Amino acid sequence: MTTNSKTGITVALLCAAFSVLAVAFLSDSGGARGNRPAIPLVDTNFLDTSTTRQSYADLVRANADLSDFDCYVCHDKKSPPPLRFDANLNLIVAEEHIGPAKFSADDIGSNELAGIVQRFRGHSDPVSAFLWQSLSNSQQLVLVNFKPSEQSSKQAREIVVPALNNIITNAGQSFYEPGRFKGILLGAETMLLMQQNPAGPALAHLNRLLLEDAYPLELSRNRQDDIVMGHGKHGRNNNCFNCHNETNLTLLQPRDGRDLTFADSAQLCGSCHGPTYRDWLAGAHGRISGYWDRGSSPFSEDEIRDLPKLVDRWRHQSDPVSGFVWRQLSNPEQVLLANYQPSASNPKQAQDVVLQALSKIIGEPSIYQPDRFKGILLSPEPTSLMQQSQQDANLARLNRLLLEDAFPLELTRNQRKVCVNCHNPHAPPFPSRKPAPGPHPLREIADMAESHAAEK
Amino acid sequence: MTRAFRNYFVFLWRCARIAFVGDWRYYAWMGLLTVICLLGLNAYCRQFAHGLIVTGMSDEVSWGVYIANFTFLVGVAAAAVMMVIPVYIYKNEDLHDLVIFGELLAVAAILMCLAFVTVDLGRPDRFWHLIPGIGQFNFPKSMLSWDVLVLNGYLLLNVHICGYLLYCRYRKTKPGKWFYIPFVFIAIFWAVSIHTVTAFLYVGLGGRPFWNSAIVGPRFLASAFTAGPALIILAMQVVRRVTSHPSPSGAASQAVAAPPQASKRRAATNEDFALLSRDLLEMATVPAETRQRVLPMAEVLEVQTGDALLRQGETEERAFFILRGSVVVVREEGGRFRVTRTAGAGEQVGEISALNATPRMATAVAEESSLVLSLSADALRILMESPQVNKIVRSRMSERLLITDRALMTLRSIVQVSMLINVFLLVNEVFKEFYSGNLHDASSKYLFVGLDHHHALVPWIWTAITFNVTAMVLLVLPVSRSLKWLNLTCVLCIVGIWIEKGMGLVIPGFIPTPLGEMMEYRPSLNETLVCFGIWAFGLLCYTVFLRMSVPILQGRLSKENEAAPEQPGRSPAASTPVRV
Amino acid sequence: MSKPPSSPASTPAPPASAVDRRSFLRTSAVLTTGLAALAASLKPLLETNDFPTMERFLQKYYKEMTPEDMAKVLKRIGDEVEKDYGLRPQVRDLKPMDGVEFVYCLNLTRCIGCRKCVHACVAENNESRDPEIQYIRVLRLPDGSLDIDKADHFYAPDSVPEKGYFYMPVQCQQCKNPPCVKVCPVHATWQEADGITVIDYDWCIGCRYCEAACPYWARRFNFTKPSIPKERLNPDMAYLGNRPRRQGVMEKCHFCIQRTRVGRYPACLEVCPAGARKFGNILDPDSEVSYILKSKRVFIQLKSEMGTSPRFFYYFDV
Repeated sequence: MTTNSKTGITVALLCAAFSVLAVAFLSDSGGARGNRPAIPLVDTNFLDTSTTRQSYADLVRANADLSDFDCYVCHDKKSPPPLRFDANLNLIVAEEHIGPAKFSADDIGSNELAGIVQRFRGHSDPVSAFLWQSLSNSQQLVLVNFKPSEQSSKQAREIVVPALNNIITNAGQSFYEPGRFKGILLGAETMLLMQQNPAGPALAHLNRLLLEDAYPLELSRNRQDDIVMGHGKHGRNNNCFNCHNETNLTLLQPRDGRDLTFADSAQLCGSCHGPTYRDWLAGAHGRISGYWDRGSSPFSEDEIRDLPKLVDRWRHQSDPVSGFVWRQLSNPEQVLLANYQPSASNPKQAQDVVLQALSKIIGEPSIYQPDRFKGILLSPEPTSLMQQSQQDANLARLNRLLLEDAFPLELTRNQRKVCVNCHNPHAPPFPSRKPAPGPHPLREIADMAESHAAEK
Repeated sequence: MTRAFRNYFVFLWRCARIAFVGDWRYYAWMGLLTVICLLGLNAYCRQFAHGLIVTGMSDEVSWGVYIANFTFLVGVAAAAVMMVIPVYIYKNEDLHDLVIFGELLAVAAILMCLAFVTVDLGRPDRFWHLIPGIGQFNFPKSMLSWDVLVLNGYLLLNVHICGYLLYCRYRKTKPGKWFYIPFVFIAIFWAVSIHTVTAFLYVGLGGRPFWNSAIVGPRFLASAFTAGPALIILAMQVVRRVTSHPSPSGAASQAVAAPPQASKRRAATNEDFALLSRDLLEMATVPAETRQRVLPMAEVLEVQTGDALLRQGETEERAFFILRGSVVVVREEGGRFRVTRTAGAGEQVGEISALNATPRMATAVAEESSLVLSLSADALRILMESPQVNKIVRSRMSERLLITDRALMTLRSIVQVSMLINVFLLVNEVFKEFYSGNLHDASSKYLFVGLDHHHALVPWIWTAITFNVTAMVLLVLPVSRSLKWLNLTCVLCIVGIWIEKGMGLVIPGFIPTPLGEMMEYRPSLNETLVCFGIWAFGLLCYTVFLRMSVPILQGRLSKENEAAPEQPGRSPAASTPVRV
Repeated sequence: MSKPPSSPASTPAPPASAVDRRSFLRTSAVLTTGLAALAASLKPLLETNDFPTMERFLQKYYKEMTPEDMAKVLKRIGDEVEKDYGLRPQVRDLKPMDGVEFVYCLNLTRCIGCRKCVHACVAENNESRDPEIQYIRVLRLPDGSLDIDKADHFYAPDSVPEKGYFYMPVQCQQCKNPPCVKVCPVHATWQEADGITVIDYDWCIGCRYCEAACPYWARRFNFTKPSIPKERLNPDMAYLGNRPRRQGVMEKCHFCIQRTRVGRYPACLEVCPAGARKFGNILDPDSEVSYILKSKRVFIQLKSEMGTSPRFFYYFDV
């Protein structure tokens, strides 16, 4: 083969190679390597830590019903209530402090009833399935034909309530079985009580709690009324009068013999939980949200919870602080607020006036005067701020907090909670699981938590 | 001035043209490389479009084969120029021409380095941020900025030196000392610095204890000086082979075949010297009376095409100066013939063997009818008493393309010493990592024995160590003096060091991560294609450089034959290839 | 010298015109197919994720931008986000507050390893979901030591916390002496006056040297175009913070600069159900972080021997 033809062959092969390449390139599709799956959330096995509990101070500020704290309605001033213990040396909590074990017809509203009936009918979860099977055929038929009318509801109620109450007695046995309650979130009180192996009325209490856990949207009640003793292990604090003053039931008693009102309950907790209490005072304990820059938190528009009520209080000067605020306003502003109607479609003007007034007040020297704030329950934070030296940043913060305390229902509170807002004083360490009110500030977490729960 | 530009442009144009001319083997080789380059380019385009997700890299192992190759090639580039030391400092004549090939290898290697760094960037479109003055150049704090400076400076340095020397050879003028000798010395220090700076890229990271060790810099240099010269040994043999032929071509073939002929000869006269002085200006400085002394010992020969002036192996003590015409010098090596150079008017042949009384190293054959001045060794010595004549004759002695075995052996000894040091440093490192048992040895453990059921790199590193130790042993034994064994040893060195520097240094630094996560790394197909593409590109560049420089060094591509008209109608690519 | 020598055993040379034609054909064949292959090889460039526009290509360095330049750039970013996500964001260039140096404290007694901080961060900072970039990595360590070699990154039990382990989230430590700032060749990352180490995403060249230099593995690279679901976009953005990034640039935790520079807490802190995270201004003696650093007896800076002086402190409850 001559050199020339070798060259020719080489050139020909080259052309072929280039052509093949061109075709290959044009027909190629992009490629990317696979991605590693993202590291997922993990479920927490302790319970919701949202501040859904209300402290005594919250109730006072809300002008709520404080009759539960009026101990001497039932108790005798002269003699302390006796303590009774069961065979396992657990304190037997009086029924009055627990609430009735059995359901009554009034406990279940029409919406809740509809929900329960639907779940019975579907009986897709084990508890509903069990309950469904406990009904006779005719009873099941009634529920199948249930429609939300008054007649129908009455009938349904007559079936549902006894069925539930049967569980509560349950022939003296705990209703709990792992398979039955798989996927159901149990409350702190429930789990605590289960560990105590209760008998008798305590067992009925437990079954009631289990049912409430199984139907959290239909059968919920305010668990703050429920006292389940479990403060510490090994039956520590298994005695009411470790914390309560037996000679004066309206007071709490820490170890050093001080007398504390229910509003000062944080000091009671702190008398044993010193390091946590000190952290809490410095702001380093527990969940917090909002502003690290405490000085720069003037009120923003979403922090006015109840504009009509606020304006109303101001223009009627119904209390000394409102009077003080009203006097700070200029005439035109007063006129504007006087003419403000709650149904106004554009509250912006009024809102701006209000915000401006609040900002101005915050910028001033401390607005605290004893007679101005007489009758207003002050929170721990402003109290401790006032005891400290006067500094500009703290002053703004102080005024803000004082305004919050003066208008607790109308303005959003930016200060930290007290112990009982998160912790159940009788049972450790967190309250029963209840959905926190309002959407989570970070939408995605809320969604993820929901889908997480839905998967279970 | 414009004339100078024009001349330079013609020179460049001819160099570029010749890159497309060759025989079928050349086309096949270049074609193969081009195909691989295109594959690499396509793969890179995919990476540019979709991002570095098409590679096997991840946040855990954020540098991969791109930087591994970069590290290796910086070493090659540094070592290539280290051959300069024997030539310019120790005046080793054997390596003289190899220096150019070494520097050209350095240029090709640096181009590959720059390519590897560019393909590794996430946003290559923002390259201008690196330009000092225009962008924000973090010099001197960031070692990467140092690396940018030294690599580009090194590239410019070598391009200048090679370009200048080749252009001077092309013009057959003597290179001005100040235009290249200072740069050569700068290049020596710069070569050490580019690899040290690259080492400092790694050493300076306190968060990666595997790299944060003083031994990394010396290991880099030792391994570079092993792999670089090894590559050159192999490359030079390729050049030698490619520029030689099984049988001598052209005029030389006739000379080899034909019996020695009697050429017409006569005594030399002053006119002959005058003729010589026209082309060899230095000869004019010889005083008249010296010339008179020399004349009796001088002859003038008229030779025809194919006449041999001198033959390889003969011992004859006459030196020749070409008065008119041209002579080609062909050397036989191991049954193959290679043109070492051509001599035109004013140039000399046979002077080395005449002055040193050694056998002729090659055969000199007239390519056309020529007039040649023949001098005895004594006559030459007398003439060389004139300082200018001495200088020009001596400098021209080195202007030939000789790749002697002796040169290769010199390189071998560089490789030998470097490999010994390299293995010694490896032993040091292994001892330090494993003897004390402290916790920072996680990466070393992963590399040498595996960690936590992950051991992808273990076979690699042990292969590399086996290769390196075997190569070291072979280098120490005299058996590696034979070219066959030497070549095997060189291959072992190069592969072993590539693995050790690439897989064995860059990757384990990331495994485990500073937080202890084990994530292994495997280059993707796309990544591998890009690497092949860049290697092919580098080889392409180097081949082109050689294709341009060899004829220049041989004297076959020079200013003198610029004017020779092209055969009408022939295009370079398909013309009968010029034998080099 | 360019006279081609004939080969030893040559056939009679073909006529010049035939040779010319042949060589011309060969040349053109090779050139044509070669150029076709070259052009075809560039095809993937058509699919490029956001090819840089001239405006973006020439954008100035952050520290050299005048307020007018910045205003233009912010508007452009707003336009781009609106085009891509259908939502007009608020993009601000927030400056550090005076007299503020941020410090983060993390209570290892409290952390339960639920990883809510990880995902809150992803949501707040518009990090890519596919592949998912997570600035925070939670390590599960066995009780007893802080030996990171024993860490488990991928624990996935049914619920946390697990007995016998504690959890340590790691994110950018905003070191006082940051190795990443030292090694960046183009000054794309630097430390601001309030202690946050920031990245100018439009200046980074993506060399990933900073990622190699970080001793805490805190930096992340966009290996491809980040993908954020439209409905998940957080429109409250900052230039140096959570505005959407591009392919090929680095990113990392910046202490939620869009929140903290207006006085708010970072997202990871707000979402932590256990209240394990504490953040504030160390120059303010009344802040909770000042209190913590004054009162806790044991607190840990990771890898303090590196000399990085991190602004992230881990502590236990006493």
